[in-house]
Amino acid sequence: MRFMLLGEQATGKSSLLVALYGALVNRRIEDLRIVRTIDDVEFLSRGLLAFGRQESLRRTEIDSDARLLMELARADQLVTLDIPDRSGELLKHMLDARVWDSGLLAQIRLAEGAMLFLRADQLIAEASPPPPPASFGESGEPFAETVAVQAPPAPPWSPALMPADARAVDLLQSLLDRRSEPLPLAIIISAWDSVSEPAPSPRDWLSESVRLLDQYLESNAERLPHAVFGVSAQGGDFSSGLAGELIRADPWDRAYLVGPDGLRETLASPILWLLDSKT
Amino acid sequence: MTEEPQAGIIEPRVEADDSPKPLLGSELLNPAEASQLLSGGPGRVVAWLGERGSGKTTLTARLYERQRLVGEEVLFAGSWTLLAFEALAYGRRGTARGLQAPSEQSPREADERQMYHLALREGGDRRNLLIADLPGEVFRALADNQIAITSIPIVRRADKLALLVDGACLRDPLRRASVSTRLHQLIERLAADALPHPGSELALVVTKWDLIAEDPDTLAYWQEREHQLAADVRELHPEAVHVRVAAGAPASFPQDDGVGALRSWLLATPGATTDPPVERYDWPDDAPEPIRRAWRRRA
Repeated sequence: MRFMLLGEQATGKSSLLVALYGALVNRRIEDLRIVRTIDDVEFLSRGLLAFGRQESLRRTEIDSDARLLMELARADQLVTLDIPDRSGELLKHMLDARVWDSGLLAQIRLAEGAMLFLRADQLIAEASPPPPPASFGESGEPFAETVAVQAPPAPPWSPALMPADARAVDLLQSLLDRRSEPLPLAIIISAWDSVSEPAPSPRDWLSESVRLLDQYLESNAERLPHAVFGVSAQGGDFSSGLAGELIRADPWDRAYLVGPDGLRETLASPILWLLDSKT
Repeated sequence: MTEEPQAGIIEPRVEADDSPKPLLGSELLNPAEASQLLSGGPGRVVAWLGERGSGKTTLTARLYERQRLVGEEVLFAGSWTLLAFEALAYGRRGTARGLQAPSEQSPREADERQMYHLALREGGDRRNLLIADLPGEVFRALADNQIAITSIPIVRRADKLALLVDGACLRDPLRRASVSTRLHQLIERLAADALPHPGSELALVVTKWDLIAEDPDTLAYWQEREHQLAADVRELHPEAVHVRVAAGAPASFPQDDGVGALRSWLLATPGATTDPPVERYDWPDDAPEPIRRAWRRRA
């Protein structure tokens, strides 16, 4: 089974792969068991070490050819899982330059499913733009006049300035433009720990917070059957420090995933959903 | 797997060569691309008829941006001109954050790319809105009888014709009288060419309604004329609708912005839809230079 990872830089693709590998290799997922590791997993081991030190992963190099390739057993079924991890910079460059990357285009035609990564904290920040600049000179000091701060000019528009939801739609409709078969799509909302409590279900959160993408997916559900998952591959924000029991937990136990209806599920749930969508 | 193509969805492109493959949605559509969309499913060709600054571009931008901001039963289903919508919306988002509007991009050479595409889904039906973005100078020239409607095929082709009344113009005591004149000139020109043709629809759209609603003098001026102007438009098309829109209003504007009502009208099925192709846009050789210049600037 060939699944694609779609996401721009720092959207959590590699983090999920690392956490998933940690959970698989440490037998935390009942439904899936590693039978054979086929490819080099050095980058995954390195990632687990980083998570153990409570450090975020470094970005995948732009020309990296990292991938997760292994044979897994699911009940009595043997599954070969092939998930290339293309760099987010490559995808960003492609969207900005408006020309398909030939490698990605080939993957799109062959893929049996895909995971689209979006960062919750980025989407939250874009939905709450900073307020207009305040006036100054209102302090009451002698001779002070109320003078509006000269607003800085907005930079000229370019595709790079599109918000994340529009860029996701841009990618998906370009993808459907080049692919005739339906593509099962697991939407991964990373940094799920940044969603305010009480967190809605990932499905409801997407519908409320990322409307353009949600509407697009709903309108094109026949060609893009999809499910939405919330993932915290680190289990929390390393920069502000982990709290309580999380400090002692192993990286694969810190990581967690919330399924489409808001219930905790294993990190393999998107993979299992994609496998079931294909069959 | 073999499936019947869905209404409004064009089959994926198949190109055997190794040439660079462009991403979808990078530019406005030319007539051939618009026709391709129309052949793939139900569509509505929309033409705003209004002078420069009357709010045509704001209406276009707001139809898209509303989908991003407001959760409703009408769903965004895609756009072959997504980047063009985003470029329109960008300046307005920046202004809302207190930034100056970005400086205008350098003009490109004139070409035939003039249509925005917005696919919407309502109750399971997907419809393609193809919105013509023509410079306002065209409509002034049309009203002044400098050019014929025959030289603007998109107006003849339109399923939905919207006559725009500029609310900002109504607020200006020195310019407000021209609103009625321009509107009647356009009505006369349309009538002379037997437009709108059977099956297409007409609307009187008052733009920048927030500027009218917040100024008692302007509101009184307009209310004294609104009924008669709407009646005059209905002489041209008995089913013509009348919509007040505040597409560029600040978030503090207490009334509905009217864009939802306008969108409902755009999505409604016209009396007859045969979806003929969209014709090329050819200016007559004797078109006045200011119009050609305006077209080049917009293109």
